[in-house]
Amino acid sequence: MSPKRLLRIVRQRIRAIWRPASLDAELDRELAFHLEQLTEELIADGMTPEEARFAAKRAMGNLPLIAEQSRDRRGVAWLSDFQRDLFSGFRMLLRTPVSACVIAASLAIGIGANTVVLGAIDAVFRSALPIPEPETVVRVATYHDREPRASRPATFADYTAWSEQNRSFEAINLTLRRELAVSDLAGGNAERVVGVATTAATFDVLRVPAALGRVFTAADVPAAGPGLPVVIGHGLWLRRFGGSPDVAGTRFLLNRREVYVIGVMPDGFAYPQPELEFWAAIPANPGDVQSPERVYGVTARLKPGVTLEQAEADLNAIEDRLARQRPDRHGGWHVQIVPIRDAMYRWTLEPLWTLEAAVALVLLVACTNIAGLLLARAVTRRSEISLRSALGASRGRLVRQLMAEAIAPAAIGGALGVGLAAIGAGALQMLVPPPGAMPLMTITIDTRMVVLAITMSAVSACVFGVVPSVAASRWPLSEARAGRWREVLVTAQIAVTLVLLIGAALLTRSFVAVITRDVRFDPERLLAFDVNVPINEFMLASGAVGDRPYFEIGPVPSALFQRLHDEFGGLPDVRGVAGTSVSLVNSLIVPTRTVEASGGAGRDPIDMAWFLVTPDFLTTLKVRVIRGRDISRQDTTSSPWVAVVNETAAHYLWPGADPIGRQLRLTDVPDERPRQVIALVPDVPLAIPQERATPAIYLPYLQQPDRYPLPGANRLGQMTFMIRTAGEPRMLVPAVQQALHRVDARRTITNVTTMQEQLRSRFPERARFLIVIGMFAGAATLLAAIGIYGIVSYTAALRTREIGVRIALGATEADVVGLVSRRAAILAGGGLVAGLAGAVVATRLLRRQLFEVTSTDPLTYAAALLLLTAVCVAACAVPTRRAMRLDPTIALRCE
Amino acid sequence: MPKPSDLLQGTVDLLILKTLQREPLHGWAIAKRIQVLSGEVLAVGQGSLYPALHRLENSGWIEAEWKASESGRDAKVYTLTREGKKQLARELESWTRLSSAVGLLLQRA
Repeated sequence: MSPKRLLRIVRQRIRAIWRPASLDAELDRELAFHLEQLTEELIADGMTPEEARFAAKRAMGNLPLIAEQSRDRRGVAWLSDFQRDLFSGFRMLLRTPVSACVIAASLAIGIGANTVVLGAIDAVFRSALPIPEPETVVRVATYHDREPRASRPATFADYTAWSEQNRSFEAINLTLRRELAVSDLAGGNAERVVGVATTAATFDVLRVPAALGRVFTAADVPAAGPGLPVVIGHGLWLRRFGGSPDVAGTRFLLNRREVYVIGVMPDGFAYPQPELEFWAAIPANPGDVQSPERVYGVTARLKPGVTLEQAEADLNAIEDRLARQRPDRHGGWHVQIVPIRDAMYRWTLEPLWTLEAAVALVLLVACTNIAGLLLARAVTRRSEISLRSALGASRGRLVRQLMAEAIAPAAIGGALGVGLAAIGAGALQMLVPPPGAMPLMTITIDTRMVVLAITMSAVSACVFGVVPSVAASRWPLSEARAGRWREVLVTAQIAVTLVLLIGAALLTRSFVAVITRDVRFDPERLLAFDVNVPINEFMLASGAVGDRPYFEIGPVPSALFQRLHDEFGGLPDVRGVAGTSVSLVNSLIVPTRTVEASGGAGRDPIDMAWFLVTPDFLTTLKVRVIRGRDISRQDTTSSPWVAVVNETAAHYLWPGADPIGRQLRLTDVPDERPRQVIALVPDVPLAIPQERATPAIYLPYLQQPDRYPLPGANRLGQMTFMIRTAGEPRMLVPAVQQALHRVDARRTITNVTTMQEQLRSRFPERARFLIVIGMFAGAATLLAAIGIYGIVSYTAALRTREIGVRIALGATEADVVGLVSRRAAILAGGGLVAGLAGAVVATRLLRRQLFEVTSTDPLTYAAALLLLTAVCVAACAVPTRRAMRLDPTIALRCE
Repeated sequence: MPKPSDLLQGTVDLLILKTLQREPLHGWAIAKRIQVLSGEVLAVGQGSLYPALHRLENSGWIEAEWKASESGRDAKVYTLTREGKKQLARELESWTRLSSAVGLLLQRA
């Protein structure tokens, strides 16, 4: 079509819409002219003027019809029709206020909820990451063949290999979250601060400039000695350095090491987690380099033009080479590269998508209900529709009309929904954890969201309008046919509701499993805190073993811990004191040691979680000892060295045999002696929720060698004390601090918490989330119940006469019940079966969020099924009772 | 004489476009010319003429203007547009094809 022609057509259409009156006037003039010419011709043929005029008029025929046909040709009839239908729709709503309110309310909730959740998802996607060009920044993680879905951080060796051999990255960095002691040069004003130990290339990856001073580069980082540059965060700058503009160059002690402030990050910058307050390029000590610990976060910036897939292939090739060199450390491990946005937001997005699925289903159910309502109304409008059809409306025209009438409720529902969304946005923020590195996420309902709400209203209108329109346009719409359509709708409703219920039930069950997870010890009233001795107070470099540095271990930590153990035990209200080198549960890093069964049972040495514990540890924590005895004060350096193992460890080292009395060795520590197993304990989970069983070994901290390699030597100076109190644990804190001060005034306690808090840190959020999902499932169930009730009453009402006759002829109550409910049972049955099938498919998407529950858990499915069946039965009950009590004489008389 | 309603809708379009090929005309003149040029065989009544004219105008094949006519009254005069000329050629071709096909059928059957 040529542009000139298009322009012409458009001009015509616009004129037809804008000034129809002038077009009509024109048409009249044209026809009048024609009439005149015809009259003149007839006069010329010999008629008198009046005769000619009459003859001409007769010849012209039906002028209004011609005018109308010409008008129809203008091609904009549909617009005025639409306008008319729309207004008629609104008028109809006004006439039936109750049903209008129901429709508007259910739509408002459905559309509002969807708008809010989609707005939240949108906010997550759109939120500006604090780093420039974030699309090229990626997070590098590893995963093992055995568990492809569990992504883990990297080892130092991985990082070294990648940074040396990669061809895909402009810059790559290593990060490790550390909590270190910060103090003045003189050692005063000590506090513990959380930050990141990273490599010099960090800011080449991040490319965020400092707000004050500058960020460090490789040139700033000395290989050894004092003078490490540290970039501090805004909060730390205000708090500790008074917000002074001359802070650059200020020296202080970080972990007893002299460092200086090189720059301050802008306010709000907190990468990769919100509570980080410093970024220090701490050169790796050789111990870290060799450590098998998989704890390092690796971030990198892709070279221009390099894709994720290319980078992943590049690194996987490097990883394969590493695996060939050291199969015990790297065998079976592969690389997974994730865009930084995904890595940071995955924890936020997953629950949001689940929520969105739930509200979308609720909207669907609401639409089905409305469709049923409209169908019932269409039946009452039979005569009107028949009239229109007789006057010449085509089927398409009727469908158009009914669809347009559906827009009115959709529009109202949408408008109310936007209002609800604005309110709901605030509520949603409380439920959803903000993604890392972001201050509290703000969900705003802006123009885009409003447009979204409008679109949803339109789509909903189509969804709930289509069935009644199509059904009603096939004139005449009998009650029976309407009833059949409604039955289909109700079946669909039940199916969708069942899917929703099953999803909610699975999530709830998973949550319950998490919170009731048997941690295998008693976490009640346990006060926990850390006491740490810096390594330069007890570790003296003493050569190397192989490629690892070796240290002489001084007596300071063990002496300190012994005295503290006694002091704490003497405090009032204390029921027991236990200590472990790292926190038992939810510790950030769990160090490991390589352990082998002595006496050559044949199996390879294996890495185990390694804990150094105090005497009476098991008793104090009330760990259920399966066999054997607890570590006691008699287990010292001079007595035979002992060990406690958990079930997974024992099963690996001595499958099927009793581990008590057997000997094992830590193969990666040369000065270790063979140890005898004195106790077997169940697996205490290392993390909540924990995905797989890990072997663990518990050793007395008093039975340790005098020389120790890195990694591991530094752990000898760490102790997390757990004190069981008679009353509220935190009340003991001042007494604990005083006791510590008495023993050694230089020390501080850090990380004060209670075990219960540690175990439950994520629970309240999750619980609130589940409550919301439960509410939506409940709403859908209610709607489904209303739907069933509606259809059963409807069909029962249709058959009133028939039922009356049957009762009169001797039908029992049971027969009547059967009559009314049989159909409902078939419907519900069909819906439930479809819902089960749908749930099996749909809940696969939930697998990641389920703990200890499969997505097809029979018990949960059965429970949801039972619940919905009960609801359906209850919904049928009322109309069935009514039918049973039918008085045949009245029934036969009514029509 | 075949009544105008026996003609297919497309045929009326063809006649109108062809008539306008020579010079712009108003509705009455178009009807008269068709009558005359067909040897009084075809008469397009106003019931078919004006709807057809408006359809063609809305499709952009012809354009209209109000001009003073010989009788002194203003008349709506239609002109064939350039695209209309192309459309005319197309319709002519399909008409020729159709009529020769019908003729062929009648010969052979």
